[in-house]
Amino acid sequence: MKTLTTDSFEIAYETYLHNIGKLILFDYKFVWSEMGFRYIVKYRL
Amino acid sequence: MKTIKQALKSANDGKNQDIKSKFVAQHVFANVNSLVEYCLKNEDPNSPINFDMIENYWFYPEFNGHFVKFDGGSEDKKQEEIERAESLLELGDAEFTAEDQALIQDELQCLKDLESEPSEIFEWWLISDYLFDKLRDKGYPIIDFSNGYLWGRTTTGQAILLDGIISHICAEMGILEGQENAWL
Repeated sequence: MKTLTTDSFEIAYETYLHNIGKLILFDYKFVWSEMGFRYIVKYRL
Repeated sequence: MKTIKQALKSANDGKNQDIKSKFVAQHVFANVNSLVEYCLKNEDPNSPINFDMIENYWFYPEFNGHFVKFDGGSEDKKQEEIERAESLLELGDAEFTAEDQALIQDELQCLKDLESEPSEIFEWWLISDYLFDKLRDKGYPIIDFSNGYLWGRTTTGQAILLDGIISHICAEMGILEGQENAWL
């Protein structure tokens, strides 16, 4: 399994689109304001 | 000349990725994940690195009240907002109704009661003193140990140059495309 944790929605969404058939998780969480959001994409290799 | 805000909008464009790639090559030296995790896990009293050395490991979540607003972050930042809220209360009847004062009091108490949370660190990197100072100022997890400076990266799976914090630092240095010190 490959995990991408990014602070960029664009990168997360692009990864999501490229791995849609292998997707396990597409989620986000708020870390704190200066760090902002973290987007998490998990997919099967 | 582009302002920091304008530069950040195009921070991941092709030329800016080249600039940030040069910045990362200069300031991020090596991945030391396994070394640091080994030291942290084993809790050896002679270990050169331990959990107590991680600065900015604990942080407070944000709090958004009507009068009291805290963006989240360190104990110092929380204390600043507590002091600001207390100064509002001191203005008393001259500025606020009794209801508002009660609300400020409640929100102040909520802020004081906030509990800190640990950062989620995915990777450890050996970095330059310059990047270390910048990350420390911005509240990112770091360790200053006798042989160098470490950054506890809270993202993983993407290139370091794509991390928002790298874009912010480069934009503040004015080295992105269209800025005064652009590295072209």
